[in-house]
Amino acid sequence: MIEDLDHIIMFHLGPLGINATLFFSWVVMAILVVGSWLITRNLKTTVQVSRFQTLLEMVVTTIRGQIHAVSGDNPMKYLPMMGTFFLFIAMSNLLTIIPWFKAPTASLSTTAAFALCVFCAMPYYGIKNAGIKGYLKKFIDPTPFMLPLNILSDFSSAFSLAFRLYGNMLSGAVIITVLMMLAPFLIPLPLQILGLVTGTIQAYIFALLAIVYVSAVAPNEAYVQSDTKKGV
Amino acid sequence: MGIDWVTFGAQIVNLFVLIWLLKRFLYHPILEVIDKRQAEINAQVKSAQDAKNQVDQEKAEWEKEKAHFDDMRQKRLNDLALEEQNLHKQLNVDIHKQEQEKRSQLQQNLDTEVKAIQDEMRSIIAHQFVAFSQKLLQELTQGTPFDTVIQTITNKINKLDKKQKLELEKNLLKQNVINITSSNQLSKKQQQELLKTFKKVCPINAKTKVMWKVDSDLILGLEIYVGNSLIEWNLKNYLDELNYNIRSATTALILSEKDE
Amino acid sequence: MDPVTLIGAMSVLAAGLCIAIGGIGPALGEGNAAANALRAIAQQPDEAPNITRTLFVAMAMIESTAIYAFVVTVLILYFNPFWDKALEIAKLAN
Repeated sequence: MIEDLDHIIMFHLGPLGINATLFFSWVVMAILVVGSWLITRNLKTTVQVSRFQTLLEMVVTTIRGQIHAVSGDNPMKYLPMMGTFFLFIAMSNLLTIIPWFKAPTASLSTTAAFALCVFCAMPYYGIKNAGIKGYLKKFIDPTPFMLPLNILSDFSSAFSLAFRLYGNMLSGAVIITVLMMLAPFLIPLPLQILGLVTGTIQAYIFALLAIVYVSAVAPNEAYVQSDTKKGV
Repeated sequence: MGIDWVTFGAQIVNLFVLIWLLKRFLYHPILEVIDKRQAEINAQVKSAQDAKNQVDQEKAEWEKEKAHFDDMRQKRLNDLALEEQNLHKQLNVDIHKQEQEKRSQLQQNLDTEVKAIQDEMRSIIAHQFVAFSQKLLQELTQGTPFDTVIQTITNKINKLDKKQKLELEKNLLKQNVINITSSNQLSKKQQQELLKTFKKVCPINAKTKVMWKVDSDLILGLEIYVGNSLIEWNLKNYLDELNYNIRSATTALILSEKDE
Repeated sequence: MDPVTLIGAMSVLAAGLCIAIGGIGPALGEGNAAANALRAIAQQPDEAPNITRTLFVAMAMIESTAIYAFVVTVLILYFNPFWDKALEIAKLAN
C-alpha cells in the first residue's frame, strides 16, 4: 500500500492527467519563483536591508561558499544547477509539514530525473574544465586496469543519488501513513520531526554529492578567489 | 514504484525551467547586489584610506615644521642665554668699576676734607697765636716811642748791600715814587730823618714823590716801598713770620704723623 | 505447498533478510565514520565545517551499500519476476 505519487491524478489538463508528482512540483516551483521575484523586485545596497533580502543573500552566499569550498573552483560555474537542486529538494522536503502536501521527491521519477541530469553534467563539466583528453584521463587513473571499475563507479554514483533521496523520502512518508493508521494522536510527531531533519540533510547531501561528482575533473587554470568573495 | 516515463520527462523539463527562472530572479539580482555593496564598501574604505594618507602626510609635514620651529626657538633661546650671560658679565664689570670710582672718589673727598680740616685747624691755631700776639704786642707797644724803630730801620738801610742799592736806584728811576707806610703817624722830624738816611743810599731828587701812609696793622714798624723793592721792619712782619712758621711746623708735624 | 505459495513466502523472507542483514554493515560503518569525525572535530574545532562536509560525503559513500540492499528488497517485493511468472502459471492452471 505504498502510495504511488505517479498514479494519483489530481486533475486533467486537456488530454493529459496531471499526477500528484507533477502538480506538487509545480507548486514548489511556483513558491520558489514567486517568492524570489517578490523579494528581488527592489533590492538595496545600503547596510540596512529588509529581512527577506538578507535571507536570500544569506542563502545564495552560503551555497556559493560551499561550492567553492568543496570544488576549489569558480563557484559561478556550478551555482545555478546545484543551487537549484538544493533549493528545490529542500523546499519540497520541508513543505511535507503541511498536511495533504506530498513531496514530489518521494517519487522515483523525480529523483531519477535529477540523477540523470547529474550523470549528464559530469562529462559536460569535465570536458568544459579539462578538455576531452583530461576528462577521459580520469578513467585511466591510477592504472588502465581500473577503467571498467571507474566507469561503473560513475554509474553507481548517479544511481545511488537517485535511490538515496527516493528511499529517504518514501520511507518517511510510509512511516507516517502507517502510524496515522495505527496511532494517529501525537505518536507520529517525533517521526515527522525526524522526517523533516532527514529531508533537509538529504537535500544537502544530494547537492553536495552532485558538486563533488561534477567537479571531480579539475580545471586547467586554478581559480583564485578574489577579495570580495572571501570567506563566503 | 517504478518510473513513469512521462513524469520523468516532465520533471527534467521542470528542472531546467526552474534553473532558468531562478537564474533570472534569484541568482543574478542577489549576486549583483552583493557585488555592488562590496564595491561601495571598498570605495568607502579606499576614500578613508586616502583621507588617512593625506592626514598622515600633512601630519608629517606639520611635524617637520614644528621640529624646525623648535630648532629655531632653541637656537634663539641659546643666543639669548649667551647674551644674558655677556650682559651680566658686562654689568658686573661696570658696577665694579663704578664702585671703584666711587670708592676712590670718596677716598679723595675724605682726604680733601681731612686736609681742609687740618688746614682749618692750622689756621685756627696760627690765627689764635697771631691774634693773641698781635693784641699783646699792640697793647705792649702802645706807648713805645718811635725813635727806636727809626733807629732800627736806619740801621737796616745802612746795611743794604750794593745789589739792593742798585735795585733801589733802578726802581726809583723807573717810578719816582716812594711809598712809606708806618704804624703810627710820624712827626715831621722823624720823616726828615728817615729821608736823610734814605738819601744816603739812593739819590732822591726833588721830584721824588714820597707817600706817607699810616697803617695800624703794622703794629709797630715801617714799610718802605720803592717800586718792587721793599725795606721794612715791623712787628707784622714778625707776626707773619710766626704765622708761617707755625703753619709749616704743624704741617710738618701732621705729615710726619701721617708717615708714621 | 504449491509453487505460488512457496515463491511468495520465500520472496517475503528473502526481502526481509536482505534488508535486515544488508543494513548491519552500513550502520556499523557509518557509526564508525561519525565517531572518528567527532574525534577529529574535538581535536581541531576550527576545522569543524570542513570535517562535517567530508563526513557527509563519506556517509553518502557508505550508505550506498544499504541503498543497494534496499533496492534489491524493493525489487523482490514489487518487481519480482519469479512471482509474476508464478502468478501467470497459476492463472493458466486455473
